[in-house]
Amino acid sequence: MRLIACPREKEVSTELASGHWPHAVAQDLLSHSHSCSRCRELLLVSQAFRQARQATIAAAPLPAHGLVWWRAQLRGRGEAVQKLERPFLTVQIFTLLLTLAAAALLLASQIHRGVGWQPWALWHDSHPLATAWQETESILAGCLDWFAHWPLALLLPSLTAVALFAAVAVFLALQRDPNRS
Amino acid sequence: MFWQIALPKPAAVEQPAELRMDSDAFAAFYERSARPLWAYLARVSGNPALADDLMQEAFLRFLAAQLSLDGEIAARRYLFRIATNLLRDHWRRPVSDSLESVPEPHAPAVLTDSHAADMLGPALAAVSPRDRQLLWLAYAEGYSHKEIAEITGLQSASIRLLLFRSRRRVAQLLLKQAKGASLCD
Ligand SMILES: [Zn+2]
Repeated sequence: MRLIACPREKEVSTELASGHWPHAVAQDLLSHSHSCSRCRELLLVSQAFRQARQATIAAAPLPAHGLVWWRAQLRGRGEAVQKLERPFLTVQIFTLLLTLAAAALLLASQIHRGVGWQPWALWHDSHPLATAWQETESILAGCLDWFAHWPLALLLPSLTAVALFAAVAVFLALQRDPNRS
Repeated sequence: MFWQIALPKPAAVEQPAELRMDSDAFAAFYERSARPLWAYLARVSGNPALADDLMQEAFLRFLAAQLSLDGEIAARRYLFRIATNLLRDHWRRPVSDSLESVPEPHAPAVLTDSHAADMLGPALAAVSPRDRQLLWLAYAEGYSHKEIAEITGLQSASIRLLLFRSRRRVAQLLLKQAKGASLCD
């Protein structure tokens, strides 16, 4: 489509915007607007939109500014709190991982000590998983030796504490999920 | 004065930050700009309930953007820009996920007492939402092509062409309606 603009459109727009149209406008511009199809189009559309704007503004509902201001303050505070909580979430995830690692170590040490859990496994000694298990066990054996000598009276409360820590960490992490609104 | 920095940067629209404008300054700005903003949102979307929600959201983002602008005109332009982004996001969103599950009518259905506004309604409904935005910003708000480019993120040259086409279409529809009305009389 070719854009054939009228060189006087700008003048017409300016007069319309300043509220001079049609009474305080030079006669030659008025005569031009009657004969020029572009300017007629501009006048028709501009006047329709301006009148629609006035009518719509008159009908516009306006909530109290205080309500919007208060909501903005509230949202601002919420976002500030969320920003502060982000490092806490990282710490919680780290704590959870540490707790799980400690629980795994504790369990592995007890298995190594020979509590008799291995028979629960359904595989034979020749099974690849069984071989892997034995290798893992032997690697852990060195570093877990001191763990293995824990008396049962100390082991049970420790396991319970570890489970509790894990539960609390998971709960807090879920509570502070940044995706929550 | 709170209006003290340059024009908004695109990223700033989405970034929450501390509030800069004090309550009194906001009250004055809100009083002058809320109704024109609502009119824009309502006439372009054709959905007054959506306009209520988006207007409120636009002001919240405006306050959160940590900007002091170079005068009220720039501030209002920035507000219209936020509103334009919100409208665009609304149209991109699947219908069921939209802010309000109210079905959006095809024709802008903002009811006013004015005959002129009613005349414009069917003509506006016949053009695309983007063209409605451009037409409203140009002919109702009186923004220049450059300002519309800033508000909508479109190129000035495209705006010129799009406005040229949509203005012609709306003018033809208005003339057709006027002829139809005069025949009925
Ligand atoms: Zn002309």
